[in-house]
Amino acid sequence: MAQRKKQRKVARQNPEAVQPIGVKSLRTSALKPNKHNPRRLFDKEDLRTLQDSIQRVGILVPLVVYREKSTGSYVILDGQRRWMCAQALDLKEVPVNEVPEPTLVQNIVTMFQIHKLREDWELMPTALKLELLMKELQERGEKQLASLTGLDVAVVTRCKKLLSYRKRYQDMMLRSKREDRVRADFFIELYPVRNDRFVNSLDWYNKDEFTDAMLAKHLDGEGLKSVTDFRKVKQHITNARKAGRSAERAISRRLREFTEETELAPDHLRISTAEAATSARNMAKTAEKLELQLRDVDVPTVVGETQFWKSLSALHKTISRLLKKADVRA
Amino acid sequence: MAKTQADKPDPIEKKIGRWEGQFQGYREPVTAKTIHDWLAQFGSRKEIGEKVLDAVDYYGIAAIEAAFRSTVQKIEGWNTDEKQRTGRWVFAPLQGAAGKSGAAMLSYLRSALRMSGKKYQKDFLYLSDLTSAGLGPEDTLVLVDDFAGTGDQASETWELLDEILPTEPRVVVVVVVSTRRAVSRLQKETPMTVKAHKRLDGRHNVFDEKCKFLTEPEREELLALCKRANKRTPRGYGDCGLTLVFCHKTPNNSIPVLHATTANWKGLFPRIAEH
Repeated sequence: MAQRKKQRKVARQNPEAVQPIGVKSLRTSALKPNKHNPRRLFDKEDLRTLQDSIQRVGILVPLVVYREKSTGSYVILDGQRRWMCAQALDLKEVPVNEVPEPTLVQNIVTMFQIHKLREDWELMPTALKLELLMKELQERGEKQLASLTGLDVAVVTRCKKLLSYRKRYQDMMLRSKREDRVRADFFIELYPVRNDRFVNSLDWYNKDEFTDAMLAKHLDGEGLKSVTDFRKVKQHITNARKAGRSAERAISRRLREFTEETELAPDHLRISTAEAATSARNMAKTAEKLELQLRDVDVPTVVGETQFWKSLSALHKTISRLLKKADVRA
Repeated sequence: MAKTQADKPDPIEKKIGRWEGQFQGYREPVTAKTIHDWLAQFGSRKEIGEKVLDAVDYYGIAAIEAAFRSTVQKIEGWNTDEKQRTGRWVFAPLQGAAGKSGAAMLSYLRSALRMSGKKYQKDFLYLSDLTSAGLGPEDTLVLVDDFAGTGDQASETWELLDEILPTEPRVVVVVVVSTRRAVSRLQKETPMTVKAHKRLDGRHNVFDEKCKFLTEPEREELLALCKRANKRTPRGYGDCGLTLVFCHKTPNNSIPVLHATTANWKGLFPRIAEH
């Protein structure tokens, strides 16, 4: 009674959870394995131990099964190892707890849980299941999706990035032969450049043409040595954007050349003035922080720290020399 | 005026003319010159090369389309009238990779089934569409390709489908040609059904004793030439020993003297385009 109450409570709190219909016995041969529970996941040694235990005391925990509406067969939702042992031991019947056929959403959640055990597939299949889940539940929140699927929020974010690509690009991540497949990392690293607001405002820019050009570079292995090269590309663009109109015009031209010529590497996007400006901005921030710290120095407490005073003196000399050279009065 | 001996066409030239017409439309043009050059590689055993060319099973676009039409029509539940079909039917390429045959085959199948129009676009999906396609057990997913030789590709595609399909539609692999070996392997290892216009067996493997167009000594000589063309897989991929050629590409399961392009051999039907 208390158990049923508990189950009803769980049902109210979590409508995605599978609810039991009742415990009974079914012919072992009447059950069929769940397609999402591949046999290769089972450790033979563990199976032997379980089989020995079942031979001694029988199946103590009923299997969880559902009746497939389309075929009328009983499908194992939980307990496939017990069922395999029952078959090996030639048990005619097994105890089962029948639950209703899972909904599509329940099936997807199960697939997520199984997927976590597999390493041979990449992120795209996960992204597709997430897409379906988002559609079915009308839920796009990354935290909510992460909690529902057991995925990290960061993985959900990566999946959503992959789903922003056209289907023809998604299919490249689904190629069955590993050597033909384009890794999800390529599209994830490309994403910040492809979607950069400044880049998208350039009159010659076309997202898909740019993606195709980057794929060509990646597959040729000439223009891009690694997918993390896109971080350099993004940095060069950001540097130029912050350096003003002239650098923006220069980066637009160079990015176009980089797109059109497969062999050009990210270094082609380096604009020395923009890079110097970024470096100066970063040093200014560091100098401001140091200056604030120095203001608070209590001299008597550090008077004996020789190295501290030596470093300060060297810094002072360098700053003075730079100011003199630049003819800037402090 | 009576024809002189010189006017009579040379029997080999007659054959070459026939082969030239038969292999028309291959991705790299097959001409009298390329056939002559190819046969020259057989040295004094040109008749073996001639026998091989006679045994080539060539599929041009029209033959591929006809094969698809008749194969799909035989699948249970199919009807040209969408309303008369059992469940929903969708089509996807068996192989997704660029340069692979699945996508091209899908286009031939559309043409064969007269489904090239825009209104049928919804029935032809990317593999990445399948998860959200909402296919149930009463629906049919048709995976299309030209050829199943060892069943490797289809088996790998099944692993992917198993991963991305949340439900269990009926999955039918439709190919123009398949080996019996691939059919039985796929039916054993996967729940997919394979429908092929033509099934090949030992009789189609030039190195199998059931294959009668070569004598045993000729087979030995051909194997030596195949080794010259490709040391690693002289009998073709998966030791299939086939003489199958599609106009868009020769399967690597066919014997390498037909398609290999190496320093030691120049196949009549190269798999890699030269132009």
